[in-house]
Amino acid sequence: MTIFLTISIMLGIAALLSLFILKKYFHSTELLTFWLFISSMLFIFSNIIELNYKWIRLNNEITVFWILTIIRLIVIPCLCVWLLLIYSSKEINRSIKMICTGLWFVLLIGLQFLLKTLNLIQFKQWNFYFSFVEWLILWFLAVGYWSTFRVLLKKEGVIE
Amino acid sequence: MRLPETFNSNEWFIIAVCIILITLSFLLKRSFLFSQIIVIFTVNFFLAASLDHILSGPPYDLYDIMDMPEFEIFDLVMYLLVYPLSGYLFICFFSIFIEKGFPVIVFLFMSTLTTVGLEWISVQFHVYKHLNWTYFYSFISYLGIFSINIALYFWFANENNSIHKSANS
Repeated sequence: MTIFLTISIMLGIAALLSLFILKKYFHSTELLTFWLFISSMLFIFSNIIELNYKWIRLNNEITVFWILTIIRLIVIPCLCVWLLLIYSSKEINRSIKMICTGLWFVLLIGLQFLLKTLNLIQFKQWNFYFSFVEWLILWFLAVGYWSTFRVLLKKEGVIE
Repeated sequence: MRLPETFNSNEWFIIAVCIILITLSFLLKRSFLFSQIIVIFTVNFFLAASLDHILSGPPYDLYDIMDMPEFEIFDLVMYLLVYPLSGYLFICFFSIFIEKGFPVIVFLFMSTLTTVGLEWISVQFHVYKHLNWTYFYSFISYLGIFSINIALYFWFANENNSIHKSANS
């Protein structure tokens, strides 16, 4: 388990380091708010899926808990910000944006199935479709929140 | 998401707190941009959701919120209204007091102690059930949370200055 925790910490550090690149394209307010919003939503989702419905059961080890917490706190929000960076770019055309969206879904669904394969989590009443719906809801919330907040920032003159 | 098993004192307490917080927020003069208010709300929503997930859920299970250990609708009401509004009001009062020359550290400690007191009241109303949690932990947590909110205030003050400067030039 320690090896997986080390990998997730390294992934977390890489995600945090990528903030230096992201800071060039996003206003710090926008970046912070969006990141925290996504992370909060992931904790809420986890409460509903794992605690209430028990569709996914966690291996009850502290190491597993921290692996998942690092993923929810840093790794997935970072992936979401990178996707939005692609959306906000005017140089990238629509079809590439769609491919990136597809890749984003594949990565997140794949990550969940990887955690299952590594025996860190067990699927009780969970399958591919449920996983897709979870990330689809997150995608809608992320895009909705980001575009609304961006409009507000522009209106208030915080960003151009 | 689960509905409360029984609608009793803790649910009424949350409703009363929400009404008080919303009323106070509308009564106070708005001194921040709407985008900054959203940042305050998001930061406090995040702090509540993440800290409660880490501390109150398994494996640590230090305390329970509301009637059952599971996530229920009133937990979400607390995340979306009680904590963000409290954070917003804290920053509003902080800006009022700081302008009158009140020392930051005194305000921070007074707010922390007041919040620990408010937590004691909410424990009496069964909003929180301490399992392995103590008021000393609460004191440390609120100190950290309020420090983050104070940092937000200074960040906004700095940002407002640069917006004014660029508007004037």
